Amino acid sequence: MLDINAQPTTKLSRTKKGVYKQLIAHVCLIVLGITFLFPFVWMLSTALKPEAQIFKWPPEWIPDQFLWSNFPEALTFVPFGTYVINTLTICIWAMVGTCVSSALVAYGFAKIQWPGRNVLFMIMLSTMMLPSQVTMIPIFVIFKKIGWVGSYKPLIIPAFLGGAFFIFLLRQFFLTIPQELSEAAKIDGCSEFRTFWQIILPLARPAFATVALFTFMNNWNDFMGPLIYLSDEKMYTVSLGLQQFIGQYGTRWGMLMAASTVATLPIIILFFFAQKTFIQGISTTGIKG
Amino acid sequence: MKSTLKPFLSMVLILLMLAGLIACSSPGSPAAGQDGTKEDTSAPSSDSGKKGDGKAVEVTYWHMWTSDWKKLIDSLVDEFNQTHPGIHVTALSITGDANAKFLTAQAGGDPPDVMTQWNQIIPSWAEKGAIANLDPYIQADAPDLGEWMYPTVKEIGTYKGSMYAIPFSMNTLAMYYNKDILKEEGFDPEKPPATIQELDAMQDKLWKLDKRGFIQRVGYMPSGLTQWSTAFGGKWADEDGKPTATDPNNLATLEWFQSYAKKYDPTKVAAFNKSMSSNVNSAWSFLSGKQVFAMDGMWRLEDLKNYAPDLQYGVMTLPYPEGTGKPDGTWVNGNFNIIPEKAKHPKEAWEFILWLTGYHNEDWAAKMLTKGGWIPPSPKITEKQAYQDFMNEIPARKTFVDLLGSPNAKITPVIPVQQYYWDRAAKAEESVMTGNKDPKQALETLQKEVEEEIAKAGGK
Amino acid sequence: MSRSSAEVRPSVQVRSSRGPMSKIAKVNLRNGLLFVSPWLAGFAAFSLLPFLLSLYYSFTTYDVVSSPVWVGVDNFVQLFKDPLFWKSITNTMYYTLFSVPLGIVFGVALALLLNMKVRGMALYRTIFYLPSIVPVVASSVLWLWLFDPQFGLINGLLDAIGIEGPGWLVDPAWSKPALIVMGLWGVGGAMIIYLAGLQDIPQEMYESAQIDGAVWWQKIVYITLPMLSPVIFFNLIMGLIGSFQYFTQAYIITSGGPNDSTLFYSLYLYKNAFSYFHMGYASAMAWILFLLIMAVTLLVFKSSARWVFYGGER
Repeated sequence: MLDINAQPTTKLSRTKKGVYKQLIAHVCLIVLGITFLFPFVWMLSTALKPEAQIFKWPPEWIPDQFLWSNFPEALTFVPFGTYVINTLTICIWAMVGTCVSSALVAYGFAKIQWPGRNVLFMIMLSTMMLPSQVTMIPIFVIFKKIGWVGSYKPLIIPAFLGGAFFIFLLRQFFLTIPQELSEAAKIDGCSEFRTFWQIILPLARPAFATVALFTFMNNWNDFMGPLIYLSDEKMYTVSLGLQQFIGQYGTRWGMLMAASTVATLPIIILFFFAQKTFIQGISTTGIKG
Repeated sequence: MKSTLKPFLSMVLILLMLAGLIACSSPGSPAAGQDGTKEDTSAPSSDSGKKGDGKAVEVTYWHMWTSDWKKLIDSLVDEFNQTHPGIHVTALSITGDANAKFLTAQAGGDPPDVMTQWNQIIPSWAEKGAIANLDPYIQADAPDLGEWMYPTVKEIGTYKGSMYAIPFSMNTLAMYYNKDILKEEGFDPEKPPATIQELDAMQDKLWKLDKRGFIQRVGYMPSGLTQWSTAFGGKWADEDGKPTATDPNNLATLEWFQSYAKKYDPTKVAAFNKSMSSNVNSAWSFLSGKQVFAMDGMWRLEDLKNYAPDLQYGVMTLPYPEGTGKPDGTWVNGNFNIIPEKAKHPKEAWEFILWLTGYHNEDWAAKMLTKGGWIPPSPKITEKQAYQDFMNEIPARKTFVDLLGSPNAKITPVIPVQQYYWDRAAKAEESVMTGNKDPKQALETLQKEVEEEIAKAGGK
Repeated sequence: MSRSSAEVRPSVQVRSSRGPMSKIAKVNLRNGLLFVSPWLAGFAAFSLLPFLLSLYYSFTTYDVVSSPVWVGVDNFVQLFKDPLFWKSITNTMYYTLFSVPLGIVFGVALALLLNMKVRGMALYRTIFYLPSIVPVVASSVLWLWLFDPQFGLINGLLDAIGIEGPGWLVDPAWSKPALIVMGLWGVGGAMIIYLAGLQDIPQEMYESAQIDGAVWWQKIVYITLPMLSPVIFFNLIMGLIGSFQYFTQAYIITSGGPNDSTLFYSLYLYKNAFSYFHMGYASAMAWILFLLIMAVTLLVFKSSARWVFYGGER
């Protein structure tokens, strides 16, 4: 069933074998898929339940009647539209910044030989190893000193200076690209930058889609950053907005779930586009192994 | 290869320009609406607060209220701004992790002018010098403020003889009971158990287990050690602020807890407790009739009204052990307003919180507190007609409010390690209820832990 | 350190630092520094100082509000005597030991499954990624319900096949396994990275293997896994770093209980820093963790020469 790339020999057996294979694959995917659907389906079903039913125990998966009013209520209970625009602003800038800067840095770490490279790379990795709880306050103080607190700058500008996670990820992908390719390009007179731009980047499209998706998602869901850097409710983000449904004296579950459902939509849409690049990676572009 | 530099530099230049663009533009663009015309529901801004004339002092106010309470707070702030032309308060709802937000802001030298916090933070923040001693303000503007409040409330806000926090709203705890089930099982629903012994005696009839031994219905399952210790006369710290976790009455409380854990399979009980009262606050088993007794606060009355309108219930004060116990025991906590030491406009902030607490403003406060379903910090507010009407509407409310004046109303010891103490006390209870430790051991461990924590905090 | 450090490209002659550099080496150094300059700038501006400061704090008592006071190695001495510190280390090790390997196996398997040429694959992929994007505030309640010993779906299924399910989140012995299982639902993120990695494997390799008569599992063992190893390596390192710093679910769903069985290192650190005002103590904890992760990472890097295969280096 895991025979991903088999090229059957005869046409007859191909179709028959193919049908079985497809069937088995679908069964596996559907069974597993149902398990993975739980969180989302549960979120959606709670969003559609009347409040009295949310507390039913044991929980019921399918609402007695679909109650759509939680959606309009949730989206007007907090200024959700404003939050979405704010969050999109942060996410898109951070996405652009991270993609460009991380690609440059990853190339420097993966494809150019220079003394000190490995030491710097290790230092870069080590920045992820110290728990952020203890650097949070000093970083805040730095941003405060340069007057960025209270704006989106602390949430966006560092993205233009590369993210360690993404640099590492892209480095791994760049390393799998045959060295002969870039060397051939250089022999043809390509500069380092052109090699990066014209040879390496196009080959790493799936990796880029991943980086874009992940940065978007991280920033979309980021809670701590907006919480400590923003002090104006008009600038709040979606993740801060979701907290507005959780109260000291009880949570508005129906609205929380409705708002959460809406909040996942942009990521689902982005994922749909990103995963398209997985269909035709470089394997079909004819690069020799 | 020579030509790498140029395109590269242009690339970096573009990056820097983009970054710079954001760096320069963002204070204006996203916040542009601040003085704009659009009235946002999230932003309390009123006409009197227009900064155009530059007269009004800007006071930043952080609170932790969300959902409907946040909207209520916003409207209160609006009201203040309208009635106080010289001051403009801007409210900000801090959700999720208020401590982290406050501490980073404090470290960055830019805390809010005023903040509403749970009372647990008062002693530690006062000890660290993070919040201002309010005595000078009180002496100037409200010398009788201490006597104006309920004694317990004053006690919570006082650290080392000075007042550091002004109350906003209070909570007490009492016992809910399900009249329908009591009747069904042959008890008089109008005569709930007054003592622990009576409560214990009822349990056999009230609990229901299924074939697998899983719990179908709970009579009562003790939880909340520190809260229940009030009915047993327990004591958590002496006059010098030294912890007294191993106090015999604390032990008696925990032994009573353990008697239930022994009678009913601890893991099953823990399982039931987890299903029913998870810390994400999902379902309250009392609502669905799966628990006959439940200790909780006044706010649950709203849940009962909304989610179980047909349930017949009563509210009584905590049962106490016959002979040695303390009737009308309750544990009091509340929301308090504090002014950070580094606040930029402490005077205006003080004016705001004194107004908000309802001092010499009792009629207004009585009305305001009914809107949030809160318990007043002062008997002077409670006696106002608006609040009396509120209590008469649902008589159970009176039980909670009266408890605040009870001589056996107790508070968390006002010592800097309070947060740690209560965290670990909850763990001590947990270790007994899961059969991991016996009560004596658990309290001894707790005592040791807290003593070490005190050494750690104040040792150097 | 890594395989790539040991190897010196024949065409690029990097001399020892004392000798004069060849022109090509100079150009490479300049280009290398240029390319990594954005990160260098960011590191210098926003990371270096906080790093050094937290190291300094670890030798002080610091409550954030007042200035830090130097106490030497006191924090470290106290830490080694603190039973909760050891408890949190044990919990974290337990979690790491299971969640990282399981995450890799499930992630790779799922990616292979989702890389097949089957109709509706886009939909399947989305479904498997969905749990990773449901906000934690929404999903945490679901986990409590799924793992509920009495009414939960998981124990319901176990009951159907005649097994009495454990107490999961309320049983100190089963709370960590519950969190590990929970973590597997979020394997979608790693799966995406593996999927992206699978696209880099040249089709021709499978074709020639086919001609040589290789069956499916041979193709996986001899082609797919080696070709995927750089990405597995990445997920291994990031998985280690992530699980050593495991925090969110323990904070929101179990808050350390029952009986401190889910008091993970980062959770205890966080409580010390922001609830109990021991930023110095927390910083000491952070640096111990830092050294621990660093040591493990270096070991993995060392071992990588033997099992990570970079197409670009042949």
